[in-house]
Amino acid sequence: MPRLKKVRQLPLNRWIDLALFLFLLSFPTWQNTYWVYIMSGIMAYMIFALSLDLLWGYTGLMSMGHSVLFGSGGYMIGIASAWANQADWIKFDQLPWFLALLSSPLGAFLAALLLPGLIALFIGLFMFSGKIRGVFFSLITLALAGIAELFVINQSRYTHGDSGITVTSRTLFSNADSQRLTDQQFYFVVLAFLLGSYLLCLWLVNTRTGKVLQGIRENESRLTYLGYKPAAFKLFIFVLSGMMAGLAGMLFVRVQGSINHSSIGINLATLVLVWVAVGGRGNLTGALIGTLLLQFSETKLNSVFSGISADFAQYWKLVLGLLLLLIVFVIPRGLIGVLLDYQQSRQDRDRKAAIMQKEVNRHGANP
Amino acid sequence: MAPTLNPEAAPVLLETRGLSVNFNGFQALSDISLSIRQGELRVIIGPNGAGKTTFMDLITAKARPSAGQVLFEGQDITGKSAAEIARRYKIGRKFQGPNVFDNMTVAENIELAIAGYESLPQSLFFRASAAFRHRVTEILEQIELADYRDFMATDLSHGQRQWLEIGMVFAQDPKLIILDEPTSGMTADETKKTGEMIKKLKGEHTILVVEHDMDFVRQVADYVTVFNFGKLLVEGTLEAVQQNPEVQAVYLKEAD
Repeated sequence: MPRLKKVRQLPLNRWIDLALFLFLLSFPTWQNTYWVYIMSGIMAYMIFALSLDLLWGYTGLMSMGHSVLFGSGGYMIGIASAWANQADWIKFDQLPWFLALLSSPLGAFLAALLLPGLIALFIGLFMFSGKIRGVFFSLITLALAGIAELFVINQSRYTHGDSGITVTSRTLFSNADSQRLTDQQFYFVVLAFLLGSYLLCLWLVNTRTGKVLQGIRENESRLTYLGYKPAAFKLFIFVLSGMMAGLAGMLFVRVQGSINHSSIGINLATLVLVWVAVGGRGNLTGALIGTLLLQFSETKLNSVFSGISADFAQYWKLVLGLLLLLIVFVIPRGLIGVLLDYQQSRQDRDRKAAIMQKEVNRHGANP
Repeated sequence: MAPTLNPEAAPVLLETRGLSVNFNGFQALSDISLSIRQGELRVIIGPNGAGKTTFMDLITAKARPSAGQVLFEGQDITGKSAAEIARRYKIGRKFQGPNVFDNMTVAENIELAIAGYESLPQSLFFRASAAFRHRVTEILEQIELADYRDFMATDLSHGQRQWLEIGMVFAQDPKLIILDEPTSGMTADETKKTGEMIKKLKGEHTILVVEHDMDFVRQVADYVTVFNFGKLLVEGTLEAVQQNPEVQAVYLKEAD
């Protein structure tokens, strides 16, 4: 029976996760290719949101420029693909030494994971050893997103500037034009990576390391007086989160078939914050559900309203902004947070009743 | 009452030599030299602003002294980092006002405090053994929170949060336990229970307590140090200190 009790004590959101993955698994069987393609992109964004949840929801480091890591992963694949197919804007005969890794398909895959990891490592070393925290961390990361956007626009020799890069190969490794998985096939590739990322996050947040990360969020200085060195933990989670964001960027570019500066800049950095805030921070489910809900509605509403107004995308941003304000004021813990609070308060009530009963029994036994 | 230790017999655990600190021209502490022996329960009393908390800040590296030394087991620990003092020298501190991990459960708070797994690889591949879980339960019983293990720390009463932090310090298994006003904000009943918790540790652990509540001091203390205006006024048994006219003038009268 203790096993059964354990299942019943499971947080509600784990059931939502299970339902979500079953839904995603069956999705291509009853949806057309267009929606399978849309959902693949949303799943790549879900990995991105998970990576931010590790950093913001669990560790309390609100990165306002997480897109830098997403975009740098994406651009690695973009440049590798443009090079492999000798896109017409490529004016160089040889990859420069710092992009040499991109000449092989596996090298490009690794670069898309390692570059975001390295960027996170350097930013992290600079910030965490300098004891930069709180709003200053957020502002510096925000500035970095702005810088990264300008950087890729200016480095048009390698990034094709404003126009961005078209990527036509939809495979896991190959960047050659001729090889291409169908939308359905690639959907399951992304789903497998999403499931893997989710399980990694779930494992990590339940380890002692995960508890230390939450300790950093709750009371960093207290941890120091317990003998921990928070900087090492923050660096670790920033690099891991960065590599996950890079993975998301790589998958997204292959789904979407293109990448431009908006994927590395403030635009996407803000979007992912909204997804995680609306879904709820620090429980993984919120990141998944928030992304699904908002991206799905955007696509759906876009197709409904595009006939009425061509400027729908502009209005959608307005809606998102209002939604964010509403969430922050009404349910600051997000949709899933509200659900978990409800479960927690019910369990607390039962526990309190049990404690009262125990008191009564004890006083009854020896009056 | 627990047998009182002969203060002259045990070796010195903590010693401060001429400890002084100056905050932007304000002399918060001047020339504090005192030593605490192994197994001793020492209470530091003194009026507000006497420098009691500052003294603890200097020991635990929350602040740096402008002059003087802190010696622990004969080693100079002045200028070491806070984490090193907690982990290597095993000095555990409870802060003034509960300082816990609010949105984590009571059990998680204690688990995080249990010493020996502070590095990243240690914590990443940590698996709770039966002995570890037993230790958590033991501490929870010690601080009367066994029934509250799955509550969020933020949902506890003020007194219970104080106990939780005391429990976290126990969990560190420190050689020196520093408690900064452990009973502040507690009901009379809770204060008494806290006194009993601390008296149980007497003899096995070395404990340094800063406290305002004189009933509590009478309950636990046998050896007392009085601070006033950043200086060490007098040291001695509680009876002797209470007889001291200088002490009566500056502190005991206004506290009672």
